[in-house]
Amino acid sequence: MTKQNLSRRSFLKKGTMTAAGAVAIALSGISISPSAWAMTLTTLDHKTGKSLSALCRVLYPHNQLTNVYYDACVEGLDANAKNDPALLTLLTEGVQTLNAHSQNNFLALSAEQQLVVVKKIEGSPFFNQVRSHVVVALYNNDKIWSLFGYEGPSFPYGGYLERGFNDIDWLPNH
Amino acid sequence: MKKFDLNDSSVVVVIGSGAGGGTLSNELAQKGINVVCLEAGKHLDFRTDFVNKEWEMFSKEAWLDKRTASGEWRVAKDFPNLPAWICKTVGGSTLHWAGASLRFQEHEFKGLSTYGHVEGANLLDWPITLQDLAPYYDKAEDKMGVTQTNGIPALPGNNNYKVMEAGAKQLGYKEVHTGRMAINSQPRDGRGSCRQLGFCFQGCRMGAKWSTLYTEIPKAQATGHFELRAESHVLQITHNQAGKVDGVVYMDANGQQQQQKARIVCVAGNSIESPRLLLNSASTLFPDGLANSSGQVGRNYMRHVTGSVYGVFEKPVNMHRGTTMAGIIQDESDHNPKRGFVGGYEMETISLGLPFLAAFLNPGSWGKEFTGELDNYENMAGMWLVGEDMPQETNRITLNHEVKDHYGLPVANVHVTDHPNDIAMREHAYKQGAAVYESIGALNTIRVPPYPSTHNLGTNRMSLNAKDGVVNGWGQSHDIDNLFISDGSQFTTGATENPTLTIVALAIRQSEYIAREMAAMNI
Repeated sequence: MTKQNLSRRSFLKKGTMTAAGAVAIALSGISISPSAWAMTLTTLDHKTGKSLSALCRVLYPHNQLTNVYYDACVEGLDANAKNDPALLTLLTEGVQTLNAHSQNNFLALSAEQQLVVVKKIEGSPFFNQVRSHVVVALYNNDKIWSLFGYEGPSFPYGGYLERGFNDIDWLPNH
Repeated sequence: MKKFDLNDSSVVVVIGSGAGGGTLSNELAQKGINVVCLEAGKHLDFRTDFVNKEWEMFSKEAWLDKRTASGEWRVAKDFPNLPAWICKTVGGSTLHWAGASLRFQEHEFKGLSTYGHVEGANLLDWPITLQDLAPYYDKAEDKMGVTQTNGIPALPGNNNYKVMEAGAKQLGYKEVHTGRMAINSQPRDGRGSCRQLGFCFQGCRMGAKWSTLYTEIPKAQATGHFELRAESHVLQITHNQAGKVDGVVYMDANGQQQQQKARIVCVAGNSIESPRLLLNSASTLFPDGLANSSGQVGRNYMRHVTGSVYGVFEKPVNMHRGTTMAGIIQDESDHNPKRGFVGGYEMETISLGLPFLAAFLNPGSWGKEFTGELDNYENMAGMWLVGEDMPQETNRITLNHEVKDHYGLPVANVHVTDHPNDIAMREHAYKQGAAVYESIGALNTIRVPPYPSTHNLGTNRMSLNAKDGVVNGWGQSHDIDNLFISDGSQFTTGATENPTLTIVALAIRQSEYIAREMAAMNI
């Protein structure tokens, strides 16, 4: 690059990308749902949303988690799809494909049957989009952490210095 | 705060404010040398901006400008636009580093002489020795407040450490301790002590871990010889007709293109951005990029042989409580070719919160087997394996002309394929790591593949002869004597140890050389 074309070039600092948007790009299209309330959709229809939620559970099944946490992942997808017609199409058509493999009702299948269907679409752009979203959105939801024994932020409680940082008592030679 | 004029051609421009650039800036300013430090990232305040949340801090501190990756390493498949996890902030990667501060071993400065010719590797001896660097290791340890040096007590071991220590002793390992850590075990240098928060990777909310953000940078500012310009992204280093560098072109915080004149330019943008900047500064006089007569700029990229092992136990460990890198096993760190590879490795505890563990335990994985492993979160202990990888000419940073950044410049492509020595070492380390946990009754152990690179080294390496590398033993360009490299990209080989202490020691040493040469009017 020469000095001349550097100065000719019109440099625009793009200030529109949010930090979360940048994370999403860096990690191949994932984003973070802020809440875990009952599913509220603005873009996807309810049945598509519920089908996606079922897909989320097939991907990351945990008996200790109720559907509300998987619904929350779908809310994040729904919010992303609001201004992203390509994503909306990907999600809608993806669910149609799931249904096509399920006698037109993915939701009606048992968990085992749903798994068989999901394996058929593994690696598709739809699958990859949903999986990479859920693996962040689900486990970043602070409301599930205690169910795994993860205690989350510690600074507000003064760290673990007086709260069990070295309290292990079952090791040999104790 | 001191301000320097854009046309002031007497200043030293330092690009980057992390372990290398932040330290060098302060050391020069303390000597009365005027420094303008250009930092691409934002200026965060640890008291108000740091939070104990993994993804939220990742979005605040990580370098997320686009990069691409290629080669056979798994990171290129799982994280094609995130080959490295390093920081874009004032303080650079000293925000998220874990604090491990180990000196290199004597033989590690003599890679070629010690290991001999290794097929496919581009080994070379450093042009400096441990004896050359020892006085600066002393200064760096004092500056950073490294535990178990200068009479500073060791940190107490947390649960994750106690599990690793018990397993190590059961296996017969001897060199097991809570590490030499740049984390205050007692108040020091105006900063408080560690309260075992965890979240060392998210920036230390206590300010107990050394970071240039709240040590070197404010100390430099207090001299009146230093100006920090945050959110100032350098696009090109410029030179005069005589082939000396004379300034830098950068985009400022307001999106305006500026040019800062300079007497000397020091590049400390980490081992991906530093060579990228030299390559993007190509000119008629230097068509292959600055400082690149050897063709070695961007080559010999090293990232350490890494991997992790998690052990799953019957009872709770709570690995997330307390410092992330809470201790170390050093018995495998020597050079012992009987193991089937040259060089050595360390085992250091690591812990991830549930959000990061889900993303990094087995990237791309899903289904019951995977979630069953996460269900054991509470009962897991974790360790990171870090060892010397082989420099290879073909593992390199290049400009990807197909992909441009916000400013229209080609992004960096990071190409990595493991050397057979790397693969042999990782396999040995995986086995030993698992054995540590199995020796005390682990129900299961999990091998975790390397994360996106946190140690990025070697792409502007030091060499005795100009044909073999980019800079001399002072980090000074062989080709352009007023152009310096001041970060880990000057490493000739990667050694076994975590690199930050050595980056800081080299920066202190380099500052003395620059001051001497300036006084003698040689540069």
